[in-house]
Amino acid sequence: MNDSGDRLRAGRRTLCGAACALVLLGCGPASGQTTQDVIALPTPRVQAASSPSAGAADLRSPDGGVLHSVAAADGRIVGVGATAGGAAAWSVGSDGAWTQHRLAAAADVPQLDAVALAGPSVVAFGGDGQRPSRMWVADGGTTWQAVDADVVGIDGRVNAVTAVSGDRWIAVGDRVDPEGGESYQGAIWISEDGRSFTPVTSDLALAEGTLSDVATTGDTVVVVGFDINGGKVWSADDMSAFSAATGPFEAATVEGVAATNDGFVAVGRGIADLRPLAWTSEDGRRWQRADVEAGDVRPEDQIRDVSTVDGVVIAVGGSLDSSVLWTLEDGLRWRRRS
Amino acid sequence: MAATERAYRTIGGVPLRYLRTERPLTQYYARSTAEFEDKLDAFSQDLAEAAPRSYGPLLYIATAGAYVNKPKYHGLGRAFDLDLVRWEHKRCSPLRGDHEYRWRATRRRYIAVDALARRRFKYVLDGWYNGAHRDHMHLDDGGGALVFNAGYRSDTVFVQASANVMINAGLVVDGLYGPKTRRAFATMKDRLEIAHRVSRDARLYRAFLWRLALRALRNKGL
Repeated sequence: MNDSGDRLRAGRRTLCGAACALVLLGCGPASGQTTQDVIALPTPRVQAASSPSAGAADLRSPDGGVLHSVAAADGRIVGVGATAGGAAAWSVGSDGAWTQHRLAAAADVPQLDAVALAGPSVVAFGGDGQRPSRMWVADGGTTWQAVDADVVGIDGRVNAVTAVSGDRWIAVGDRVDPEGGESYQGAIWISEDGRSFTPVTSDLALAEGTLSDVATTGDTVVVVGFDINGGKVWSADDMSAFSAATGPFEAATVEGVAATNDGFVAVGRGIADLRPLAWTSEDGRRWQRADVEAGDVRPEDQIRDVSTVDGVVIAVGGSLDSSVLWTLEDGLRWRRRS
Repeated sequence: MAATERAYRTIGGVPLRYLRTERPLTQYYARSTAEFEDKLDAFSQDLAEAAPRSYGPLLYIATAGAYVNKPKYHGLGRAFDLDLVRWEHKRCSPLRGDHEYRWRATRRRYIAVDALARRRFKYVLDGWYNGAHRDHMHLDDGGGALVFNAGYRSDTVFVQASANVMINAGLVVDGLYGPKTRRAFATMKDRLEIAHRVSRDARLYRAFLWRLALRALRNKGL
């Protein structure tokens, strides 16, 4: 989940007009790491041009709502998730506060899981986790319209979506076992119009796994996920054939990915201890561990989405009934914002 | 209840390990709800009690993961992926694909662990369920009462595979509960002296699974 491809190719325009860069430093073993999993590879050092803009720094979770996904582009920020009443969608107004939108035909939908935007268009997915995800769209209006499932063509559970360029979109997720509801196979769908999606046939080998997130910059698409053997990352140029990326993903889950000014950052956890982990890549194909401290991310916190807002990496998540938003401070430490 | 309200390195006092790395991790912190941990503890105790003395004590249990941040039961802290059960002198290794190992004793041991898991967890997805589970056993406590449900593929493939391994039934393991499967299941219940109410009576089904496990762990057919 991240900014649209158009926005990235044109350069970043922040909410407050201030450019930001993300600092990711390779400083050696973080506290708490064992010698077994220290990856002694240097990461590129990128200096922060300035402090995070007011937009990203002031971002909080919406009152009474749990954020599952956030997208930002062209000065707009939208979020989706749930409230006590079910699926919910919001956007950030000029006052910096979240405003909830009306979702058509969503009375029986417990939550929205994924959102992306490009220009005036918004695409969101959600559902009950057992049946194929349903889709809502908005074209600048305040009411998000449901799209007929036969039109959408999604045959699985969508966990993330992003705009690639123009009207092209890519959604990732999994196919669900009808008996237990567990994911057993990753899935990717692409759309040329933001309405109908078709599955991509790619060899994404996953064993009881899931595809958790997708990010783009330029023509490069990165898909991340995990299965019982650890983290998985694939990249493709312009949504053509995906190939497995290289990197130290074993014994880890990869739960989110975002585009940055220097390529990509992926976020996940250690399987054995749920310690937050991060990886960086300049091209989406070769990855290395980044030294990131857990900071305010507790082992029991879920990370549901990773995005960039004004050049700052943010994560949203929390527990099942609480919403937390974190920012990655100085590329090193997660700081809780709400 | 919180998905990660409990964190633990052992279940039923038996250490947990993670084997899916080049250097296996000898300490694994599983997280789950409190209720699910209690079920894992009971499962571990069953594994220790049901095994014959010749197996020796339970040394460790290897997992491919418990709580992970993904939808459904793993994300709810109510699932556990089983890779291996290690007694001092014997092992059962879903990771190795023991459900289709060439030695019948090994396949029977797999049946036994599978059966003991079903006494505590409704959904047990094993190597016969689908290819995604050829190298681990998925356990979760969704899915309702602990009775046999012919409408569940996961229950039916277990009965079919058990019948093949324990009474040479020669069934196609397809998850379809037809007359041949029904007859083979009835035969197993009769030989284990279990009344034919396992689809309604959880106590009876658990007794069936226990007696099946005892025989299978000792490499005895029915």
